[in-house]
Amino acid sequence: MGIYLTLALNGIVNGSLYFLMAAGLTLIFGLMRVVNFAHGGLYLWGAYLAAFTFATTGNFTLALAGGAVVAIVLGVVMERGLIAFVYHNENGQLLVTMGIMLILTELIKVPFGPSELSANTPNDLSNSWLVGQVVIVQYQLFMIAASVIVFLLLLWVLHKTRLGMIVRAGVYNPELVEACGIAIRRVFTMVFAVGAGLAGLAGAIAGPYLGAVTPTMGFDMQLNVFIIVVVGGLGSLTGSFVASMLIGILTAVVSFYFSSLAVLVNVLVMVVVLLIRPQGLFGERESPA
Amino acid sequence: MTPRTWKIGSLFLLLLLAVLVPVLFGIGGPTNLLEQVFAFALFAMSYDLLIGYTGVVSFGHAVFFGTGAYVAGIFLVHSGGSTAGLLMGIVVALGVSVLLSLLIASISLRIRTVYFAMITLAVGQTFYVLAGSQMLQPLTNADDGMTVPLPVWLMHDRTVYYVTLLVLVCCVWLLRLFVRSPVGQVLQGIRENEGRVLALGHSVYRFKAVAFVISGLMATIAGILYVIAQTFVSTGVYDVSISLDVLLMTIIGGVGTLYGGLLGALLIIGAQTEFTNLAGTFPIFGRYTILFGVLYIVIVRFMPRGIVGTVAQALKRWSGQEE
Amino acid sequence: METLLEVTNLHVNLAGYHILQGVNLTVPEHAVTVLLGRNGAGKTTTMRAIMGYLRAAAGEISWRGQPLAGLRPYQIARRGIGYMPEEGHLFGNLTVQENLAMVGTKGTQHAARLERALTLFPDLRTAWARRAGTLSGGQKQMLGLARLLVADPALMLIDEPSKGLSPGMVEALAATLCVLRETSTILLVEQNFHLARQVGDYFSVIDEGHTCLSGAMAQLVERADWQRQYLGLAVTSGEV
Repeated sequence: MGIYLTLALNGIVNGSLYFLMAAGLTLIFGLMRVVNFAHGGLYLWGAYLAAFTFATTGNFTLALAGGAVVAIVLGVVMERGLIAFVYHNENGQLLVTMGIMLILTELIKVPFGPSELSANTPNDLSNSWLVGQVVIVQYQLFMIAASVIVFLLLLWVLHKTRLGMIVRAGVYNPELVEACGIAIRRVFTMVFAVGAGLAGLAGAIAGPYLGAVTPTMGFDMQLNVFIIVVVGGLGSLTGSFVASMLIGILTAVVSFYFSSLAVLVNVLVMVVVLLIRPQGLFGERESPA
Repeated sequence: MTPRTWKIGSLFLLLLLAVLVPVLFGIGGPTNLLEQVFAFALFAMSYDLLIGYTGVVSFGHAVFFGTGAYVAGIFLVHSGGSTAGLLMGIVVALGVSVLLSLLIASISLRIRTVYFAMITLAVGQTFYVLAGSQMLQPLTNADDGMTVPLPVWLMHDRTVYYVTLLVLVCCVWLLRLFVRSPVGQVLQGIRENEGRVLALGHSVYRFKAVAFVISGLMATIAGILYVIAQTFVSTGVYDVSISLDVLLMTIIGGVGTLYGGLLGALLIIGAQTEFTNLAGTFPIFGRYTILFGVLYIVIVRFMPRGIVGTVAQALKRWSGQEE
Repeated sequence: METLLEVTNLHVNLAGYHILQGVNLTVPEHAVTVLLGRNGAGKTTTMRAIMGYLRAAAGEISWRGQPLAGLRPYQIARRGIGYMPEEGHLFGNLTVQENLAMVGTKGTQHAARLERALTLFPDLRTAWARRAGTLSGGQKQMLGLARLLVADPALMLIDEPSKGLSPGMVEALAATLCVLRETSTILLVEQNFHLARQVGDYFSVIDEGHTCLSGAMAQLVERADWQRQYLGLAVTSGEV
């Protein structure tokens, strides 16, 4: 029994990390339809900067903020400078963002080297308790809490604020938003920045959980998160949350029994979902304006 | 001169050069490098068939390349390097390739191109992990990779060189035939305007699937060439970075030009070798992937037709003005 | 009467084609100017150029005497030009209420304008919380017009509102436009001449990318030969 509970808990923790990352991708890819294959690069940079900041200052809050800020800066530069000219060109986006991904992955090795950098858990979050046969780690609870807070916050902004309404409108019909006197490009850049910041934050939080940050962590994470956004349904936050947990638990279970098949299982989930519901679990059918 | 004579002339000159290399420069370093270039050129051209002629981007084309290399490698190792083992390996590799491409096509070609990119990437990752897994250790030697014995008649470097060159030339010819066939014409139509081709009553999915299967076959042959040239195979052949290098070769050479892959492979492999040498003295050159990333962006932004496409267009304009 | 908008010798290229090759247009305040012409003549392109979605290759568009060149569409909208495109004139994924809130909810006049719009289109009140994408064709047109009413711009650009409506609904639309005319300046693209003559004060005909005829609507109504020549209408005017 204990093993199942442990697997379930691990799955939920995995899922929480996935969601922190998927939330940003839901905004960028799900809503704005920018195929950002550099999203893992933002996560990577957030993770490194946070690990480095925490190692040098010992201030975890500062480390989280640093991770988010570096990703926001990178995200805005990317969006304004490079992605702006491939809006409406899906293959162009694939190639350009993959190019950015290569640059970000390789550039991080220049200051930090190609091997891993250890990322420590702050003392305030390093408790653990044995409940029955299950070990509960305080940092993991923190991760679950962080993802739930991000989920609720985004849900509120998107559906209860004027800004959220403009974002939803802009996704549907950007030209008409402009005709309403709203600078939609600025809104999009802002949404992109928020999505990038969330990737950085996810990386910053992932570091202590994984124990170390490595240059390949961005690539590894990115694919799973793309699958999650598609499975959940493009643009649906709730879908991303549910899919994150689903894939998180599946990954935990499958890697326990056959570690090499975890990626394939996620792909299979995506294929099955797409065959049954092409719009994803919580997605809406794409309809003309 | 018309663009056509330019093209034929330059291809002929290249072929002549390639034939003469062992005579002029001897065997060893240069031919080893060129064997790799030939394998990757074929790989890149197979990729161009996909991205350039159907407009779908794959991030996992290494699946076919790696499968070609691994299947041929496994058969050679377990037959002790016999000719029969090599032939069996080739036949099985091609068969596996067709099955694999049909499977991937059936689940992913009908959906958005982005999903196709994701699924191919994921399948590639799975093979990468599988090839290195302990579970398959008896077959693949897991993370350590396999040294592959070759049949006696293939032992000589010069033979390997000419065999890879010959296979490349044959495959280029076959690809050319395919691109110019009615099916190839429809594929180009799909790239230009999917809706119109649909209206003409063609099943776009079937044509894309055909292109995908042929593309996979060519990539598999490239993988077999690679293992013959390197006499070694490891999980590296399934690495995403291989898919991404080949994608770069294709777009540098020129998407939709078919021959661009030849040039792209030469440039990228040449650059990789050069940078790796330089990195011995200046470690910063070990980070040459940064430059490759920049190239991705620069080409999409400023040179979407690649080198061959841009030159061909310039020649066309130039000869057009001349008339 | 003051001229609000003046388009002089406008040229626009689109995807390598020279779509507009000399459009001239004067839109006087407190009147309805109707842009007529065949399909593909360049009427929508003219509107999109005015809104700043398309860049002018030559010519000038001036608003209250000031050139609009180089302004982004949202800046042009803020100067007081409202736009209801022919297609995609609402946010299908937003509720009726949210659609109307897109043009702003602040200002002392807002409540009064909203009230006026909902009085004119009572259907929208009952569909208040419904998604705009689920409305009927006629209701969608009402919502598009209501958004303009709430925004209350100095000039409304309305692109073929009658398209796809049944004859009965076109009559209702004509009545609505007549109400709007009392308080607003309108530039209307309309192929339905029967509707155009009911609401229009002035007209301008675009053919093959340039303006070929302009004047008062009353003149055009009189001249069956002009209608035949420029609009391809049957001999009896008014029949479409």
